[in-house]
Amino acid sequence: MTRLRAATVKEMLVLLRDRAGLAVLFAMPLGLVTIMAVVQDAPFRDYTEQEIPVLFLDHDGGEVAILVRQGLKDSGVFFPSDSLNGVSVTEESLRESVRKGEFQLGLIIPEGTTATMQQKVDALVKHTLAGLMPNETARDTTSISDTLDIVLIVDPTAKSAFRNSIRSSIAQFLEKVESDMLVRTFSRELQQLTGVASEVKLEGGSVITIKESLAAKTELAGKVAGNSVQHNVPAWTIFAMFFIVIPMATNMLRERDSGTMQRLRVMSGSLAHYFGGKMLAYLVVCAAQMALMVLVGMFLLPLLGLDALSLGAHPLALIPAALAIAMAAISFGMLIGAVFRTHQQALVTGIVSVVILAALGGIWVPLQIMPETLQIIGGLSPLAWSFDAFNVVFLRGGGFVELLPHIVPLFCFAMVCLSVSVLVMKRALR
Amino acid sequence: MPAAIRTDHLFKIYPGADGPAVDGLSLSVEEGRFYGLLGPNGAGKTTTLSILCGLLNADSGEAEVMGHSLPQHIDHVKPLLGVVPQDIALYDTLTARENLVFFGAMYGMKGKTLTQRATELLEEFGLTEKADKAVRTYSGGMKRRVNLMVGLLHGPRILFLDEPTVGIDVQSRAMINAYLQKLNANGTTIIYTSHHMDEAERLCDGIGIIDRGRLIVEGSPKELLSANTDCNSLEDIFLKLTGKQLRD
Repeated sequence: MTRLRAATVKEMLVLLRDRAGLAVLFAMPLGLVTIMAVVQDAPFRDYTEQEIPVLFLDHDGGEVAILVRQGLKDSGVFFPSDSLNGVSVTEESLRESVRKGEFQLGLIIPEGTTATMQQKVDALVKHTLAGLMPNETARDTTSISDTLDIVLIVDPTAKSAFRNSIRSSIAQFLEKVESDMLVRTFSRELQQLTGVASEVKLEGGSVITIKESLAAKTELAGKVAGNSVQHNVPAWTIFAMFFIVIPMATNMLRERDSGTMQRLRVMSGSLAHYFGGKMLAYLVVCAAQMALMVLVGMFLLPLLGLDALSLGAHPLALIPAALAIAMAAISFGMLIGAVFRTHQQALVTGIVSVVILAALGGIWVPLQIMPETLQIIGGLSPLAWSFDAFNVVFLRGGGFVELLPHIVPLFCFAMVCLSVSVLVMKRALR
Repeated sequence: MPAAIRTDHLFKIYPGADGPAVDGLSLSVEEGRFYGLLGPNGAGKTTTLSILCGLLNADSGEAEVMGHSLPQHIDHVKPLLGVVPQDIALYDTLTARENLVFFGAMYGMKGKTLTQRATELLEEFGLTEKADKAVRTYSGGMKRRVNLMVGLLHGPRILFLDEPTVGIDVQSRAMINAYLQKLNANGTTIIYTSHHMDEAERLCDGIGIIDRGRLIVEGSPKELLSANTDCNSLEDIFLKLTGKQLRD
């Protein structure tokens, strides 16, 4: 116990006096999580949470244009504008402005849109009511083939998902305008038929709506979603923990080069004390990293306009999750420190392997949106297992039982890395 | 006197090496001796010491420390040994005191005994004032002294010194040598390697010169000088036996 405590204290002292190492372990993830959470905030949000200015060109001047403009305004997302720098927008200036990226969207309502729509609606109503109107011959709606296209001009850099969302949103406005017109026309025709005034209005929205609920534990349902903060805080915490490979490998190689490792080997203490001391000291570091990142997520990121980090329904489950991830990360660092002979080899391999495992493990981009092959490969990354473990607690509201299948592979990975490290070190000294 | 260390036909070859590092070395050093193991670079001194302190396994032959066979009984041997490597094997961001406390704890020492022993050694080697400064701020001589102190912490019965005074000033060397003589006078067996022939001649009561992994001559400095009347010093004997050809 004395030896283990001494080895742990020594390791802590060495770490605390290594400013570059501390910067890598704490300052780097702090900077990364803050920057990445802010940068990725927009892509993580639904487009309906954004404010999108729209250049609006009305050649129609009728009801459709008025209602579409009003619909855009009422959405709280789109902000239609029909002038550019105080000058009325033209089709040419609209296209040019969107092409240059000054506006993401432009909408052109062609001349006669309202008339065309009204004509079609009239025909449809008359066709439907033909049997009830003895003096009226049924009009064939198919003969009304005049359609007009509302033109949507989209920034060429806009993603297809964004374009699809906008298109479906505009289509919804148009459907509503058409429905309103249809109901009004029916109402008018029925009044003529029956002589009774019965104006029907479509108000109060749809009869059937969609209620979205997250498939998390009931305590969490609707409270937590995969936003930028919920993604980035656990992601960069994992990344930071695995970046332990740098100070770990550096210190191990320094010990080997300076002869302190050999000195330790001729003492009665075993390799167990050596690795045990490192493990305990770096577990403290990982705990500090975790605490720092959680505090950043809860208190700093909200100051930057982001959502506050939610710890899930069972925050205590974060302890075994963090322990498993930390052990996997520390053991991986030990493996790199044990296997490689030079600082350069260890550092390059350590950094590159962590970056690749992070990329494949969904640290930067969620694994779910990667191609299938990459998802399969990414599933082999211990950083992906780590992320799954954190997501169980942070997003899915899971507790220890649900966490178990995710942390067992991490503990196994840690044991394998540790065993290989011990074997390599024993062999190297013989 | 029983043998503190004994080797019999010890043989060790490193993978990929042209020849053996230790080639049938047979050696016996009695308890209480101050024994100089001398030889040019690559003669096999460090390899021999590494086998005797359990860092390396010999390919063949026998090695014993205080009657314990190696490597089978290495756990019995380790507490008896103090090893001072040629490199400054210290944590340079830690202070001298922190290094001593850490290594002392790894020897199994603890509490007041350890802190007192560390303080005692720091005083003995004139480092009390600088005891709480990081080792990396020390001069070469100070680092050598701390390097030696670590090997002495637990009061070993046998002390292996691999060139303990290399690259240091005269004052530090004199201090270290005086301490070693005192230690030996108190019964500690010292096995010492060095390239300083004058130092070995002055300190050691037994000398073994090895080259290419073999013991080529052994005896007290006086015996060696008597047997080589054409030589005026141990250095002359050394050059006569090992040649003037440069080694790596």
